[in-house]
Amino acid sequence: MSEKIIQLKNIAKRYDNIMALDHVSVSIPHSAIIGFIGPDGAGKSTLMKIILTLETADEGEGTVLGNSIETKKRAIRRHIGYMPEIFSLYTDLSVEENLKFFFQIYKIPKSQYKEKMEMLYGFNRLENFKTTLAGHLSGGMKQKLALSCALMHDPKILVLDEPTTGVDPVSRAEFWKMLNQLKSEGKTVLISTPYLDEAMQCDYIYLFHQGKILKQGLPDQIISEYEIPFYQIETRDPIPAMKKLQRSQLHARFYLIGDTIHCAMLTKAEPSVLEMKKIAGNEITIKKITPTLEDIFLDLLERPGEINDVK
Amino acid sequence: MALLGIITKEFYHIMRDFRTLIILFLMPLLQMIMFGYALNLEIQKVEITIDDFDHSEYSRQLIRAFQGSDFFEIISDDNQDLEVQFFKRAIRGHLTIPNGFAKNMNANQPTQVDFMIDASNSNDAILIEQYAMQTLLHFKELIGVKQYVPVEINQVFRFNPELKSTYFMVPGLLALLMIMITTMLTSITLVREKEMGTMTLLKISPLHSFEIIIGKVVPYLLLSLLVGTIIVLVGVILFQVPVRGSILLLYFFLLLYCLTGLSFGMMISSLAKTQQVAMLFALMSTVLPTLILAGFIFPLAAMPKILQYISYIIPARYFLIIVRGIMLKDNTFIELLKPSLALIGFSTIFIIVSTKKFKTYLEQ
Repeated sequence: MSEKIIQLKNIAKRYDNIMALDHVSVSIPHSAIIGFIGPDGAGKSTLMKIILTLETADEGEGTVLGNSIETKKRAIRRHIGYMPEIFSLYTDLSVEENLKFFFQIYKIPKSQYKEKMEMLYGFNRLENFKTTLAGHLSGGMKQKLALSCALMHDPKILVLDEPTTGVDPVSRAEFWKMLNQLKSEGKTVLISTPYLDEAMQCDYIYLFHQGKILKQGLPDQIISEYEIPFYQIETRDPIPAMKKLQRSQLHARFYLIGDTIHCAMLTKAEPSVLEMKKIAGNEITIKKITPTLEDIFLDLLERPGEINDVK
Repeated sequence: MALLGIITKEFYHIMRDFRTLIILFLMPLLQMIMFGYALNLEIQKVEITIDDFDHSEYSRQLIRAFQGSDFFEIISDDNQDLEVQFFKRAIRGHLTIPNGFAKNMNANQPTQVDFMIDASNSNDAILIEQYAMQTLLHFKELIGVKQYVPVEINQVFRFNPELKSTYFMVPGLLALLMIMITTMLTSITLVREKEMGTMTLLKISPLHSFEIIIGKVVPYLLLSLLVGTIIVLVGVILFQVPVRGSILLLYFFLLLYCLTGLSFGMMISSLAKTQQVAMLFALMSTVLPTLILAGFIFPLAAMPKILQYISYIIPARYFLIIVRGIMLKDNTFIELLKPSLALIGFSTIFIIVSTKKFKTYLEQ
């Protein structure tokens, strides 16, 4: 994780009056899976498009593989594979026809065709669906096909914009297996996802919100280094208990995850268990927990003042 | 190789998209048949009634002259009220031969018959009047009366002696349908890639803009030529329109004209965001101007000056002169030089502007 293959500094992008990216900097190493995490409209896609040179930044500068994102667009595009958020292959073409089309437009020597197809079919296991129209494939298969097309020219960087949104859990797991294989082959994978469980599988993540990066780091490290204590409160009837706690003057935020109440302290102080029991009833059990990324993300959203302390 | 890839893919799209195929082949056929038969400017079997108050040999001869014409159909009036007949549209003309018709003619006196015409459709009325005059002339020939006429015009209609309206309909339809199809097809095919998101993948691929453009244009050019061939064939076989000039020359101009439409479609597609918008714009900007301002149906010379000036920027105007020239007059390239240069210049500018626009779109 030494040399950086993507380096962007102070990138800003505005659409009409909306700040899609608000002076964002990233530096990305090779052979890693990098996660752009955040809700829709947080700026993940825009940053990806700037890396792909499909969009031009209003402010800031950067290089991809040493090429300037402003002046060396073609050189960058040659080494990037892209899977857009919406399925963008030809639905009226079969699996093989789609693959062949991308083989042709990437101007790969014809002699490599057989070898390339064998390699890709081995990777995506779609050989039995060769003649199926892409539009008739299941969601998971569509994504595998799109990934294969993005890999056609053996790019160094893969940009995948929410590839697993709307895909069933089994296919998602398979898809991640494929990504790890690509990483082991030395490729850098940039993936955006709204799923925080997928974020945990990345080597490094950026948490996006409203055009800004709230936090970045190794997922485990983000969790272990987070200083705010979190508690889990279990009770038989969580909703009224939570409402009572929220109305109280305690220096904590209460919210529901599943059917347990989570409690994030507003300061680093320990909570007063006695007081909580007084408010929500004696039968509640309170225990300290390690926060999940979701807890941290929600907590970060509540602390706009501290967003600036990003490394 | 990459070019071949796009062309192949485009053919797959065409073959697998039933709607496009219908647009391509059925629509021109239907329109040909509609325009060729239904919009026939010749009228036949105009129902008329005749009141004969003379009951002479001459008056019967006159009635026979009307009976003998394909144009008129005499119906028995059963003493029905004339006004009612006109209102009911049972008749469109009424001939009254007055008492003393034969007497006047024998005395070599100027004599009149009354002919009443339904002029609620003024175009038809003028035609009916002209045919009635012809029938009257024919009648005079029949009975050998030579009334004194100072100057007689002996009309000769060149290139279309029978004044068949299909002769000018078929070239007109060729001009109309070709520009419509070519513009619509290219604009839709490029906007569809935008809508589906595949354009993004083409953008980041190593394809050059000219490869995308040529790859898109070639299949549709071939198809357009095929459709053009169908239109000409239908014209020749179904409507007996002649192709007196060089087929090669006809195809050369057809090709040029298609290129104009295809490049115009490309320009639309770099502006339009959805297929519907592209389709609507393509239709509006080709059909109406070609129908009205190209001299297809309405004579340009009869239009206000401003519309005449506007007509200069309509490619169909020049194409029509060329097609009529080749099909009906056996014109050579030299004789068509002026409209040819206009069309060539026009296509060139169009192709340059649209490819430039598309290129900036692709490479931004």
